[in-house]
Amino acid sequence: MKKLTTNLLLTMMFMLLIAACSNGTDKPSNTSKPQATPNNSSTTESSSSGDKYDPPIKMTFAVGRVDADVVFPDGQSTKDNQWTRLVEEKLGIKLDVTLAMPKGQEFTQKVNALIVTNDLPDLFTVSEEEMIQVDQLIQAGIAEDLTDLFEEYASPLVKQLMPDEALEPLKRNGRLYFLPNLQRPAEEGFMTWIRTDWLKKLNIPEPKTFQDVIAIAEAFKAMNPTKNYGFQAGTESWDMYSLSGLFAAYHAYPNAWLKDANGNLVNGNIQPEVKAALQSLQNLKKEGLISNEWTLGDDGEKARQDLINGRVGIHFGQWWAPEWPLQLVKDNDPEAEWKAFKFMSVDGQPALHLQNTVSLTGLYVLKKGHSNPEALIKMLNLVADFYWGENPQADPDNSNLWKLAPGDAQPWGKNIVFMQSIEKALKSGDASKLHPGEQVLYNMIEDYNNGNDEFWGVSLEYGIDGSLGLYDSFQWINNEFFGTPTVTMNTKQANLNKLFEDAFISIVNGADINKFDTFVEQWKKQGGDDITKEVNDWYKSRK
Amino acid sequence: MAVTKLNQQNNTRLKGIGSTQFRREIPLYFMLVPGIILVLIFSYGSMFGIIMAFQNFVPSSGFFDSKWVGLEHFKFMVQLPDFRNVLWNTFFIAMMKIAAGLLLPVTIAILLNEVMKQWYKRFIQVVIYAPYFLSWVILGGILFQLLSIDGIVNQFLGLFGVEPILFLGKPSIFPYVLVASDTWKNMGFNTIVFLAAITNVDPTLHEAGAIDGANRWKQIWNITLPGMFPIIILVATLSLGDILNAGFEQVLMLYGPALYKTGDIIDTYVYRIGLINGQYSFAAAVGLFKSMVSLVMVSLSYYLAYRLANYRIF
Repeated sequence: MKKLTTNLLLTMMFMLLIAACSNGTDKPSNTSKPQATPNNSSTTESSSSGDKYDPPIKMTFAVGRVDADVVFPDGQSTKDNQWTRLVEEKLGIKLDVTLAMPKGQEFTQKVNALIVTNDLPDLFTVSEEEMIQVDQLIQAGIAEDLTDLFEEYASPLVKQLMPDEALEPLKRNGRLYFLPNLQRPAEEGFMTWIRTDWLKKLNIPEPKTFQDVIAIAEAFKAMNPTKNYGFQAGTESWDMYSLSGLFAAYHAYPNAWLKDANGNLVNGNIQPEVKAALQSLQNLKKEGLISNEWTLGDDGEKARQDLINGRVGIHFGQWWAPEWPLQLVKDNDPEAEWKAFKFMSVDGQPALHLQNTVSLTGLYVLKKGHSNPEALIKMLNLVADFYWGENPQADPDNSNLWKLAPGDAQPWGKNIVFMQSIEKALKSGDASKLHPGEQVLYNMIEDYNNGNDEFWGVSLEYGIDGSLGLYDSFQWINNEFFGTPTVTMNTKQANLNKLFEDAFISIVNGADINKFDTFVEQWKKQGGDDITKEVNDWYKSRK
Repeated sequence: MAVTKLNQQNNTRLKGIGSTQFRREIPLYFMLVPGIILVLIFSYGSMFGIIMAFQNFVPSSGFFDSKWVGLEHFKFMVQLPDFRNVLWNTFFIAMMKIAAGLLLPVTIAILLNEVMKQWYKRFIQVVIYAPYFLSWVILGGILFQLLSIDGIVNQFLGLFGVEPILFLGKPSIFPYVLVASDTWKNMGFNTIVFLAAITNVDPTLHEAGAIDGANRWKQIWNITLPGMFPIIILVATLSLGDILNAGFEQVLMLYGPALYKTGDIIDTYVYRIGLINGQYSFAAAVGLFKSMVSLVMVSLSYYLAYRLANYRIF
């Protein structure tokens, strides 16, 4: 009995210790807006459309992206901040923020509840993941038609930031029912990140083909066979199982709708190229290049921990990977160096990078029936002018107040543009022409060059030869479908995803590769064919 | 005691004049009001939402303008290829949890009762009870560490030459991991209930047994256990209402796509299909189905509790 007590006690203490020690891996937002030093935050000098409402008009506003990284400067709050002050001063609009919540399911449900109880505010944000909600609002006639208002009131700057080509795919029956925060889809492209300090140590040249990458994975594993493995893999479909580069090496693009030779859309999951990629994954797993525990949990967290703990040296990630999670690797092991490469393929054909046709980071919907619907466009003009006008401003340091702005617009491929001008400034040493947002990043990189490893990641992204510069050399393949889910998708997509995951997991774990053909048949029978037809109907209807 | 005596006196003396008693108890009834209001709003009021299960509910159309579809969502639910599998997983995991959640606490309670050293008994009680207060989010993280391939459990098994086991990755083991970890977390609560039941056993019976030459084992078997029996039956039957609650949070924390075959339960299934994909009506239909089964089981359990343990609520 006594021994049991001691054992129990020890276990308890051990558990507490583990709980206390596990690494915090917070994901920073990848769309940070320019930030500036406080002395920079004087008010804008002129608003392009100078007319002010007199007497002031009122507008209620529910904003669903006030995340933890929004830090209010002294004296400001959700109700009273830079934006409420500015729109009242410049436009005579009393913006009443009735609801401010972080981005997520909860906000969506709250908005749904407000719709049902008829308490919807005049203006509200919707997450880009909730296009279903947007379409329901449009069908119910709740969303204001903004097409003509935008045409009439949007400033030249806004029209330049949100060109017709970019808005066109987002229209419903040719009408614009919301204001999107547009992003250049290229900025979502994945790339291969490889630990170059290990390459140097092992005296391996930089890879040219995917065979080279696999050889590198083997060499990295050989450095410490019991601890290391080659590729980070998980079961989270939203991140292409952390294996986008491997799929691309075999010209496979799961979870996307691709255009085939006849101009029809086909689903990426059932293409023969996926079978080849799975065969390769199975072999890699047999060789121990993929962790035995790769299926644990459903967000790939386990593999990410292994990456951070220095057990993996190859990572498929986006341009911001250096800030997260690679910066955490650097924090653990200051020797760690990473470099970004294009995707490489197993044959002579170039590996393509998948990109969406449209890329949003949220959107604004105006409720039908406001007395002055054009006020929304005027506020958008003001926001655009504030950040990107002739005398650009930036948010107070680290405040991320842009998330509370009643409108949002940014230059096409903002981060790529930033990187190019910062690179130029770093080379010439002349930072005087930089945008305040660029200036902040420039200062961080200078800080890193002076020995502050905290900004190692930023320097790898925006600095000389930064990862953002790689995008212009990519060859792309488009995910052509960006409509709202079709009728059959609503009822059957979840099951189809499950079928795919089941085939995917069991084949990688050693099942007969022909299981893939069975999966394809099942997929087609259990709704996949219907969905393909619906998707193609949608695609044709757009032409 | 004094109060009941007083009441009895009142009842005999003021026969037929219940109003005096009622007037005196008015404050007590008054204190009930907030609780009743809460129940009315949050338990009965929200039942209105059940109509979603028979509609194609769209938030922007609200409850009154959404299209009625009758039993379509229920038909769809039954036709889903995975539904039977999920139903069976739920039933299997819940049954095992109920069984393990009874046997272990009964055993521990009896053993603890035999322990003479008070400080030791209390210490064990606290240790067993502690995980009950942790949320599954925290326990999930702890379990991931303990049960991983290079975790403490596999290291311990490795001392005996056992190959590392993928506790949280193998479909065949996963349900048992769920049952074991759930029992670990929750057994403290029932242990305390059963310990209380044991203290209610008349000590004179034990004394009489000892005089008649019954040893410890005989006393446990013939006196303690029968004395606890009504409470055991009561706890067992009442937990029948949970037959389709296999533990949403726990499964959500621990499972992954590789474990759907044996680990997916109704709640997680509805969560994935219904909420993540925004199908409120379908989720409501499955929820209603679950509630119907629970209603039947709870009714049955109250009946059984009455017949077997003479326990009544109404």
